[in-house]
Amino acid sequence: MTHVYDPTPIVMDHDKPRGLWRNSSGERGAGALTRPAVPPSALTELYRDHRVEFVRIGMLLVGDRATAEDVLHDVFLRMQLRPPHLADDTKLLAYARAAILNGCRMALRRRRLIRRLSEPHRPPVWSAESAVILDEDRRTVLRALHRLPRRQREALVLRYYLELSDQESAEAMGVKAGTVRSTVARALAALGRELGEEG
Amino acid sequence: MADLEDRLRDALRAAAATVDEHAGRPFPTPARRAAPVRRWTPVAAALVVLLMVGGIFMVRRNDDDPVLPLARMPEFVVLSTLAADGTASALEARRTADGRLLDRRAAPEGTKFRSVAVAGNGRVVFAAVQTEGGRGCGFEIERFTIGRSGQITGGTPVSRGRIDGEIATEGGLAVTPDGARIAYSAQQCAGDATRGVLGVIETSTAARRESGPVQASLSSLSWTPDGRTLVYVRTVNSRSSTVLVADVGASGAIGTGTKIRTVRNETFALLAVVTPDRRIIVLDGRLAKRTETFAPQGSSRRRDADNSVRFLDLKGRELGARSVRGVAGFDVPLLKLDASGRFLLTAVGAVDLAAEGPAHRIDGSANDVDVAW
Repeated sequence: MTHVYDPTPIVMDHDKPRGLWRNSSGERGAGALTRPAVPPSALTELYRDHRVEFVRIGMLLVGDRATAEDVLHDVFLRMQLRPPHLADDTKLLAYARAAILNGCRMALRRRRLIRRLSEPHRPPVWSAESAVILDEDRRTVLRALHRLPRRQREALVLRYYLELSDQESAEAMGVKAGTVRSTVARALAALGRELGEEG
Repeated sequence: MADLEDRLRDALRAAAATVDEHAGRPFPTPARRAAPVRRWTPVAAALVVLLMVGGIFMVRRNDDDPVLPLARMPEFVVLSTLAADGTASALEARRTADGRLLDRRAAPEGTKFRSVAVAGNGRVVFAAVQTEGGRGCGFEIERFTIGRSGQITGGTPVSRGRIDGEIATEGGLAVTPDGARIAYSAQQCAGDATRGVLGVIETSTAARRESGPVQASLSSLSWTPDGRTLVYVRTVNSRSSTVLVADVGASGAIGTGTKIRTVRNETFALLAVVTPDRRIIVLDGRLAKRTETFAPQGSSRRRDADNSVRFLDLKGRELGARSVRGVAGFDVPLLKLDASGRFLLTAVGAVDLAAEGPAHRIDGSANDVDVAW
């Protein structure tokens, strides 16, 4: 079995001598840290090669580019301050995607707190700049996507924008592959209902 | 289902493509800090959040008022101006904080900038460019962009934005916060110049619908954020002004306006603007004094003005009032809201509706024709 670190660096306490792990069967446990931290050069390379992809994913999930950039900035700061310990560097991309998703969730939670006390937020992806680029149908689809529950929205973005497999989406979302499949199916049905189409 | 998946892919890719590959922040570099400080960072962050939340509650004026969103005053104001001799026309971008002129774009020969409107992001500007001097009677709506440093770029005509007639002088142009719809008010040039039309242009499809003409001038246009309701003022014989609310359908068809408030006054304009939470702010009084808009002004700039705006619901019921105090920085009747609905732009400057105190004066140009933010 492969031991994979729980890809949510925000909740992990790297100051402790032990780390939390989850194997490919979903079992969790604690064990001594034996793997080296990801080197800074790997983070720099990851940022250079995938920055645009991360910003785009973030924007599709939170609605505006500025918040997506903030999330990306925070994620990479955290990864430098507390480098992840991964089985191999090929896992770094999946780890970063998961961290981006987690950061977007936190951004949306913060926004909901302010939204309860003030006017509804109008994501700038539907702003004047986008309005003259995106036609009405695309905006309609994106608005319907924005109304879906957070997990369904994530599943659809990972599947239909990044074209990730069920397993890759599962690693990013922190769930099982079967959960991804069922979530995508439910999300498409819900999206169809929002758009007034048959499923 | 395949259709739905294709639509979804297409929409996601199109939205993602709006993120420019070449722009973006550099690789973040953590700052060095002492280890003990790190332990206090979560505590400090929690304190900041508590202070912010407390601040949100502190801006409430009373229990019945909705809490206004945390928002910043728009960074720039955009003005259409005239030279002192009333000939040369320009579009100006000024910094709201100190009125400093950041950029100026001269109007092409034979034209003048008139009404201006700014979309919700504070950067996309629509301006009506009126043809003058015997070159025909009409105006064209053009789109500009304000850059980070206030530079004005663009100047591309909006599709179907070439319109016969003369654009209304006071708030004759309005755009929804997302830039999807533009509303304009035009007066006929030949014959009966008091006949006005209202028009709506869909920027994404270039569809245009008009209603009218009516025997009145139509001004002070403003949209609700969803682009489905248009608020405007109809003035008959320069004496009687009425605030009206009209539904605008999905096709852009403008419904019959419902009367909200009528004022009979020859001296002062009636101005109105709709807030994001669907209240109407009206202003009639010395702050809205009618002026000869295209004649050189100046002496009136230093007048102190103490006036008030009133808040109405969509049925015209009075909800409250707010004093507006300050020294006039603009020479035109002015009442415009920013996208958040918190900051009101008036002749005496920017009014923070979430706080008491005088208006923040913004110095305009020598002869302002219209101002927006």
